Amino acid sequence: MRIGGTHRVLTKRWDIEDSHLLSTYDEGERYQQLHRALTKLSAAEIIDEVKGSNLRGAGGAGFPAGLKWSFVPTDTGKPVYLVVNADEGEPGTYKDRFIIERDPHMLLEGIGIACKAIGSHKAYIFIRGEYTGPRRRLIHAIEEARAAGILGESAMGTGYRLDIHVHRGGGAYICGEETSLLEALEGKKGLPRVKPPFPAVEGLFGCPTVINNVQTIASVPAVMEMGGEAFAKMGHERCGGPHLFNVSGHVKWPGIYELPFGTTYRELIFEHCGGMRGEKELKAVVPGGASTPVLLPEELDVRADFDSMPNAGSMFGTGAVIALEEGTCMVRTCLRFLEFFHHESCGQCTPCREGCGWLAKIVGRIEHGGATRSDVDLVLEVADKIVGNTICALGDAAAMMAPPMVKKFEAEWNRHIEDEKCPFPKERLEKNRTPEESDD
Amino acid sequence: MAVFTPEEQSRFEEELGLVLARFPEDQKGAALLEAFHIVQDILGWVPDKAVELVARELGLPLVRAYEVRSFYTMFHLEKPGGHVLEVCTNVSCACRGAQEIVDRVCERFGLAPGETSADGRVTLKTVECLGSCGTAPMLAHNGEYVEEVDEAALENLIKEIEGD
Ligand SMILES: Cc1cc2nc3c(=O)[nH]c(=O)nc-3n(C[C@H](O)[C@H](O)[C@H](O)COP(=O)(O)O)c2cc1C
Ligand code: FES
Repeated sequence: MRIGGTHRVLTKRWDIEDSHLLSTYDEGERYQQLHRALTKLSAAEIIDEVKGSNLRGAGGAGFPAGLKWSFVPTDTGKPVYLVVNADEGEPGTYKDRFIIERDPHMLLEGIGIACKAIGSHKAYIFIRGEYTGPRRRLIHAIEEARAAGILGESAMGTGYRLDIHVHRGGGAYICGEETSLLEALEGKKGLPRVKPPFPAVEGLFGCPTVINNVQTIASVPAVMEMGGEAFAKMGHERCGGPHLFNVSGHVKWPGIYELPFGTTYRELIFEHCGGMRGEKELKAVVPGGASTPVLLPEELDVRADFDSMPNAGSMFGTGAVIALEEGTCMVRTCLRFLEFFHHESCGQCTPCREGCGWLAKIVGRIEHGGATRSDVDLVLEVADKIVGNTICALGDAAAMMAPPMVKKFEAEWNRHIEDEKCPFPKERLEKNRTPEESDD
Repeated sequence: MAVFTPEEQSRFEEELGLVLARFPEDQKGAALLEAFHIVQDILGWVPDKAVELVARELGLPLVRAYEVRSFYTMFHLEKPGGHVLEVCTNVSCACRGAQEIVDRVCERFGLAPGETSADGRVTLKTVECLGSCGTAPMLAHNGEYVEEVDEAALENLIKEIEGD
């Protein structure tokens, strides 16, 4: 896979050998922005800088990071926690893993700065349990930083206490949802909490807590270094900076492309990823992970950012772009996503627990045979009953993903029912990956 | 029977101690997921006896420990084979041939997804996205990622396991 893009801010060290080591990080000027934050800047000044940068939450929802930080009450007498969401489970998404593997110190510096901004002395990085390699990297980086006096009782000799801990999840997509994550971190089943109270007021152990995605926090040193205004200018309108687009599927060069918000999906796929891998044309694009409504090839001129995508009837999500070629079965694709949501539903809300199961069952019989004509409408009807009726957004995601899969590829769904089977071939493994595809 | 050998017991206690030190003193329960991971790192799975031990150590009701073990899919409820293969079958991997990986492993080791081969050598699981979609298709072999799997790589892996 490739690492590319036009704005190498978060990925600037990724091509360097041993980019994960402290000795590589910032060569001599290590943790300069953290030092500045701890010695020269007030919490309010940091928050203002981040607000001005238009840094948006990269975990999927795009909430403005500076604004979130400003919600933390400072006078409760309780400890304040920073929780970094490294649960990365949205299908198609793998950017956070690469940040952790290639530049863990950038993340740690971001954590330190964010802690100062919200008055926290303790951060937990909640990492999905399957990320064994990335976890080793993180732990090593924390040990390096502690040994160098960057973390600990007096971070960088400033008297500010700063502890960072890595905590493993147990393999549940739902724990990426922030309140479910807090439950998991408290050692419980990952059932999302009803909001309000919001975590900023009542989060981990009932204390004020900020939860941010890995990429969001890893962007903070760059914001501080170049200044909020310059960071904002790199992006588009209210979405500041670059984003790590994680591209997969049938493009010629899958990989991570660091590009400004506002780049179009067409540019991303055809200019940066080299177009499609073989002779076949592009058929469909899942723009931001399993939870985001599919786009057709003629819809790719929409700008990739949190505010433009709703106008195209979709969502930016995590920037996990899955490009699918002609010959890919959209019923099967929809089925795989629905089986995923059904499997990952925590079971707390009936519309999600039962609805995702029904959807998977109905679409399953459309794919495998045994469906009737009315089943296509039934998919739309069941989906409609889930939206807005659950505690968290997992059910909504399933229910908003499925209908466009049906409506945009209706002929294909009907053909499945007429034929009583799937008309598309099975996907095959490649014999030998061509060197070009294994690039990097 | 004891859950651990004496050496394993001291490793468990040491690692659990480090986890407990991360949390406020009155929040021991927060260590639960990590405690199960530590058990599984040592034993390869999380048997009932270990659930009881962990609940005791953390001062939790037994039912809380059991419900948490069963909620999270990573914790094995039975002792798995020597080679645990977890094949991602979500869309980015599926569209590049993940099902063929599953089918071949099933055929060669005479098992179905979720099963362990009769000789106890291999356990196959199909899993959801493991965050390796740009290097799809992929699988985890005893937790370590094997990426950009093609026919040749799969054949090599199967041979390696067969020869083990
Ligand atoms: C079902 C579900 C799964 C989620 N999974 C993740 C995840 O794996 N990683 C993540 O950062 N955010 C995930 N989120 C979003 C979080 O709830 C939360 O918005 C985010 O961590 C906040 O950080 P940010 O503002 O920096 O994006 C998920 C949300 C939902 C509803
Ligand atoms: S879809 Fe297989 S690793 Fe993401």
